[in-house]
Amino acid sequence: MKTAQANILETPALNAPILQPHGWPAMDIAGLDPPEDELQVLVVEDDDADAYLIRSALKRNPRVSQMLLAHDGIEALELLDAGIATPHIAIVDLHMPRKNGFSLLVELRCRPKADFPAIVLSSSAASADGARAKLRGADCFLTKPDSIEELHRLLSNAMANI
Amino acid sequence: MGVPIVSRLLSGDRTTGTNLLPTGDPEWLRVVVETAAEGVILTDATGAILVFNPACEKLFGYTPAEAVGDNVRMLMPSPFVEQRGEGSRRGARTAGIGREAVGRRKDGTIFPLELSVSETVCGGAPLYVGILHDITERKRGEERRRELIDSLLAANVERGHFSHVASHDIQEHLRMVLSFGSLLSLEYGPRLDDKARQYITLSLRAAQQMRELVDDLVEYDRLDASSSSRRFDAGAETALVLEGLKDRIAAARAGVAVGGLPKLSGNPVRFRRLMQNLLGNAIKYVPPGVRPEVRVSAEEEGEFWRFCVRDNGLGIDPDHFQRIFEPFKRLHPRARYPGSGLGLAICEKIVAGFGGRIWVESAPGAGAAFCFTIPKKGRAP
Repeated sequence: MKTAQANILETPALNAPILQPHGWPAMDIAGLDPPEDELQVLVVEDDDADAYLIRSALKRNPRVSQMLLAHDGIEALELLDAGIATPHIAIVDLHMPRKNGFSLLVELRCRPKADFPAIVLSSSAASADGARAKLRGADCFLTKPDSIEELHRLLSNAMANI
Repeated sequence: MGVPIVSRLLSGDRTTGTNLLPTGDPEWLRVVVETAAEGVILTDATGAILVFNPACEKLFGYTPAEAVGDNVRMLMPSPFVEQRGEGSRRGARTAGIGREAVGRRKDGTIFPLELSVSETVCGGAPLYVGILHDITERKRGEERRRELIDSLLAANVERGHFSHVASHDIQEHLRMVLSFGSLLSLEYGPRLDDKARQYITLSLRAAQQMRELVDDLVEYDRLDASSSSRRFDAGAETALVLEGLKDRIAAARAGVAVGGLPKLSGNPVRFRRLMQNLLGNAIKYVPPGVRPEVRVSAEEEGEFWRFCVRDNGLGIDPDHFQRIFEPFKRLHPRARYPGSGLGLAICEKIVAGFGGRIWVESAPGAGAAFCFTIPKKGRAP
């Protein structure tokens, strides 16, 4: 499972080592509050920049203690099936290579072990995409916003309401 | 007249055995030619018409009496005569099936026809038989199909057009600029001096303006496409718009009064956009320190409803009454009154789409009334 191992990102406790995506600056976690809820979040996102933004937003959420990153639906399923990922919540992008978000949502609903809620976070604002995602079992549909503060707010609200 | 010539010519050759018809009574041939639905023309080597059947009379308007003896060139401006001549010289048979030509009627009008020509020899002389039919209907069908394909291709090209593909990419890049800019500000702002923070703010503001401009351009472009239509309540849609504007209304301490508004036919999403732009402008374009007061009303005017959005804002010089509806024509510096310059152009397109018109009544310092008409029964398809 070489691919799966190489793509795990963890936001650890303050003094644990951080695994970074290749080429990305180290994330500064000094001064953050310790996690309250210990939620593990599985992020499925093919764009590294967007993955970085989502991680930046999640690290400010005290309920989150661990984040795993899969680059598309296939990797996500590999992590789940291998038992490497046991998330409480998934944040899923829609348009990804190999297996897109719609297809992944259907696969998750077919796996009894994958009964965690799924938040769709897409660059699309199309209500049709939202409807399609909800039909496939997404718990909510969010459009990627323009600022990190807004992203943090959207994800926190969504995770609080699920 | 035509047929007896044929039977005379051909029966005359029966003795030499070069008759192409079956032996026996050529009466059946006369029946075939007379009743054929297709035009049948027989010519000699010079193009003189020997046979001109009743179907040809229907096609061209000449009676056989008028046509026989004349040259076939009179019937077809670019006739098969020349081609035929060519073939004969080469010694090949100019049998040609399904050639398209142009026919000319007795009244001078022309029409497309399809013809098949065969050549034979009769009594030592070449003889040409042409079978013709009018393909006007087929041509019209082809034209319609071509137009349909063209419009489908154009619609397909539209998908690759700026507003569908490039603009999405541009919006994504802008989102990245704004997102990482906000991240920079959030994580490093406290460590920077005022000048650096100002640089970041100005960069992000420019990116935000680009964002709004691209969004407005996409919307302006998209208004060209036709949209769905249904019956909707202008009052309910306006209430939704005001709900969406409530933060701005609260910030400006604006007072908005809406009279009774009718039910309309059209696209409610576009109507909401129209009201959003007009109400947004009414709240925005006020002198500093003035509380905006906005009144929305609708009155019957014959076949139309006339809506008015009245404000107590800056007012507009009559010289500019037309200009303001043009894209990108702004009257005020962007620094004081932000916006892409497309708001009223979008309003005009939306109102035109409803089948109405929009104008402004105003004077400088005296507020403005933006009025637009919408047909009661919706736009005629």
